[in-house]
Amino acid sequence: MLQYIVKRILIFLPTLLVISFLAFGLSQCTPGDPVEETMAVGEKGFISREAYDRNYRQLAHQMGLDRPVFYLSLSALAYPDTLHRIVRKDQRENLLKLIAHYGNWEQISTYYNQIQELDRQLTKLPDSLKMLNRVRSELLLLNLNDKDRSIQTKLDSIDHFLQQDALLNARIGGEVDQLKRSYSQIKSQQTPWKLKVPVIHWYGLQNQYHFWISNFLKGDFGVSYRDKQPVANQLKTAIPLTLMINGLAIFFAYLIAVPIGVYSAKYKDRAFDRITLVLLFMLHSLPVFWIATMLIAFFSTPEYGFDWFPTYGLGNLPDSAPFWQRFWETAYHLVLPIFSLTYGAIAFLSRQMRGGLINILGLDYIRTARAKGVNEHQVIWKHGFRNALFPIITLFASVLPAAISGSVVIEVIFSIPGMGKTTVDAINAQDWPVIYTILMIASVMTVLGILIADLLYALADPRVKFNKQ
Amino acid sequence: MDKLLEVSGLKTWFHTDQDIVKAVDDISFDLFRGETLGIVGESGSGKSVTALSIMGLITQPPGEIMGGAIKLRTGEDEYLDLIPLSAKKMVALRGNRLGMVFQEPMSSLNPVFRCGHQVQEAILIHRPQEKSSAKKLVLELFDKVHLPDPERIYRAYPHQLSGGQKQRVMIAMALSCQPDILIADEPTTALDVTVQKTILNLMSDLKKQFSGSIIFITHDLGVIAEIADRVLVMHKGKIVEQGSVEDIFLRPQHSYTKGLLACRPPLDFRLKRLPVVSDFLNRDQSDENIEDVAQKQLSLKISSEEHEKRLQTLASNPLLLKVTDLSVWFPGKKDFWGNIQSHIKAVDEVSFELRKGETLGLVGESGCGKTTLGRAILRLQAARSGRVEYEGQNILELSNKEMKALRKEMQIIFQDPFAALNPRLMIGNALMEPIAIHHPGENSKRCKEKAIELLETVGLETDHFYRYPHQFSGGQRQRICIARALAVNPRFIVCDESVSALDVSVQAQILNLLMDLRENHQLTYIFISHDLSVVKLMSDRILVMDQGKIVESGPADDIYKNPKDPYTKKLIAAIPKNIFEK
Repeated sequence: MLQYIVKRILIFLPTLLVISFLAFGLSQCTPGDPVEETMAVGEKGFISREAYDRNYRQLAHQMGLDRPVFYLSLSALAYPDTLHRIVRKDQRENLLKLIAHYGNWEQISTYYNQIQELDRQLTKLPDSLKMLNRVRSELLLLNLNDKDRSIQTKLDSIDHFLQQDALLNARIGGEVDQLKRSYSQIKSQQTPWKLKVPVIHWYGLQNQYHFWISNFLKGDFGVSYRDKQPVANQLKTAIPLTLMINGLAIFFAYLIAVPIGVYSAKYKDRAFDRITLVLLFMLHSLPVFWIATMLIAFFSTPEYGFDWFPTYGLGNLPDSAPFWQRFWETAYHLVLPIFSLTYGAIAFLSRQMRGGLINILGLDYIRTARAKGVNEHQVIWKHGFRNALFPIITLFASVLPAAISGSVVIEVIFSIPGMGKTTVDAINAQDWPVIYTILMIASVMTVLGILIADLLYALADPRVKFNKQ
Repeated sequence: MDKLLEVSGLKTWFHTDQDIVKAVDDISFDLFRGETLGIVGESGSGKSVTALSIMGLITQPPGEIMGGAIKLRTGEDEYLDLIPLSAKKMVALRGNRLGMVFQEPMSSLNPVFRCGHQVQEAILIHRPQEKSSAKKLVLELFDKVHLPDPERIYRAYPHQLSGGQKQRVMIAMALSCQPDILIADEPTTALDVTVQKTILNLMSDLKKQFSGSIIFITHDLGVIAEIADRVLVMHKGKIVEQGSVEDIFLRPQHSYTKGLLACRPPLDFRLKRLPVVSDFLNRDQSDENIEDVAQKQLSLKISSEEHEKRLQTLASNPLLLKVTDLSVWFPGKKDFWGNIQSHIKAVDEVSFELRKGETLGLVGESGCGKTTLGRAILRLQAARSGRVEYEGQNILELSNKEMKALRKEMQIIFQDPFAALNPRLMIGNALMEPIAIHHPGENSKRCKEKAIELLETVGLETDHFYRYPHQFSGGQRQRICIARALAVNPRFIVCDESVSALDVSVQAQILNLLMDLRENHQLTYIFISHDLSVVKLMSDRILVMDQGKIVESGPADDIYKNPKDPYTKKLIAAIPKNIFEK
């Protein structure tokens, strides 16, 4: 048994690792600049460019974004292993495109450094120079262009502006000529073969993935783009709510479905079985959003005479209220959502239970049990039930992640601030850190659910350990 | 003598969607204290339903007891009719006064409970007592049924025991409350012959100590002869004959009984073909000279000179198949990391030769590797090493394309005709498929003609072409499988337990068909079976396999008469001998 458990866990760990790679890989493909998204609104636009650059650098460093992406990288010889030091995402991507065109990093880096150097010089010059700002904006655009024609246009217009401003020309004319030379060198000294030679770089532990996963394990899931608060704060309130609602729903679903399934199997094809079949099938085929809306319409408005339950939320008694008062208040609010979550599962689970038990009751060992004089009650609950439990246990693997990621529809309809609602809101706001955190948690729960189901299975069926050893 | 049970006019019918199946139709018999009553009959004859009716285990619906009485003796001249008894009272009798052992020991024990617990449960239900004393009883019972190390078996789960051990646990369970009547429904059918032998020995031992009576149900006349005092012969839900075991075997009255006795392959001499039940049933009943069973068999005997001649002609035939050092291994134990630690050598360096027109018998118990060997020869199972030369060509080295071309030379007929046919494919299409594959140019009309021809060859009718497998009986399906194998005009056929799943009377028909086909189509067979009597009837030479190795080989008659290897001796000794023959 111990060996079986150890083995399961050994399979469990690498799976988690792969999941984390996937989630991290996806987060790398996200559009938008994470540093910029994280910056507080006040830090943009209204401050000087120097301050902005400084802030940007600081924040990127805090977020670990000035590190290489992963422990190692596989790329072409043309790409330098120090590119990650260029923290501005838009500039970095532009350089990548240039390398892809020409394959000569030496020349490209000279060119890039000259642009930055020129930019620094320009900031030191007095604003009174009339063409300064025009030249500067053209120069900055060079950072974002990789097509030969557009670069050429930009360089030409810088020339054009300089001719109109002799003072400025005297200050930076030499540097601009140098820049133009560097650019023509890029074009004349192409090394496209370097793009075809594969190279593996090893970066060590100082990388973004390592930074991200170790923070994740510490419970630091990053900062939400939307409210600039740590993601953990949002989840801290959402997870317990969803766990409670879904936990209760699952509990009630099993509590009601298992006996219904057992008795339909016992009275197969009799009135009880037929009637529950029809009723449950009807319920099962009604969509959740419709039922939930109808419940709100009929049971929470006085127009129909059944103003029995509240429409949304979980009540707002202060934490200082007595426990039982808060308990009843919450329970009162939960009746409709939990019913909506439960009815579909009851139909599904009881059919599973019924089918499983009917199969089992036709087997030889059930006949043996009858032949030795076991009464019908014991035949079903002792000899049949435990064997029929296996498929129900398997279902548990899919139930656990659902319990964490929540039921989007129900939480939205009843305005319960659980995981489901958090997910929807995050998606609508393109709040990527929250989305990836939920993705990670849901995947881990899925794998954990499978692990627990495996262990329960081994506990219920003595043959499992034996066969899989 | 004490009458323990009196069954009169019992009718158990099953209601299906189409009609009513009269599984047991008006049968009457008595069971006396201390006797062993054998019920013999083929599948569907109603023998198991009779047993289940007595136990009150007929599932309702679809089953229903339509009439009659089952009277159990409860005291001096007091009898209790079990049929109208309430479910509650019946539960108190089951396992208490009536014990039952079933056919399938593999699936008859609940997999999630320990064996000891399952036997103990029966004791605690009917004889409430302390658990510790019940456990003591269980251990005594396990000892009584000769289970080794009762303490270990008590704690073991069913999947940790062998088939024979499980059946012993079942017997212990049935005997746990000293029932008056022990019903054993085919208790040895699913077991190997040698295991069957030990279980039968156990039952005869128990019979002597046991104060009650045994109802022993089987399809195997050899087993009945060994164990029963009195025999009922059932056919189509009716008892056609009953009498003492000597009467049934030596002086059978009903022609069905005679047919049943005659269609078993004899062990002492060779037959041209087996007598079949219809030979007797279709005979005019009023005919005074109803042929004697032994006479009927003798009339079909092949003289030893004739057989000698056949063997000589065969010896001069060219070699068809030569197998050299063929090994097939399966992964065995694995270590913690899933690396294979050891192998199960299913076939272990086997070598033999097969001449054209010859039939080679392959016998051995389940798990000895005979099926794997058969499949490896046809390359249906990858071999680990060795050579299989078919007319000088090593087929293990052929490309898939070359192998496909050769497939029409060699075919296989499987054990289970129910599983071997696609239930959604019309018989005609099933037969036309191999023709179309191996003769791509053939037009569909010609294919159809050929398929109908095949149906006639195997004794089926033209209009069977349009039917589906479920509309046929087991014997008919096996005929279809044979026709499908013949469709590509093969020269070499592997018959893998091809008659093992069939009733003895159907088995005789199929064996006759295979012998006729051998004659008419010059076929070469490898005939695989666990049943030595069948193998001996069919084969010219026999290989005996044990644990992947060939332990003995030689002409069929020699192997049977002078076995040399101890395993062969054990195998032959385990065949239930019909004590009344010779």
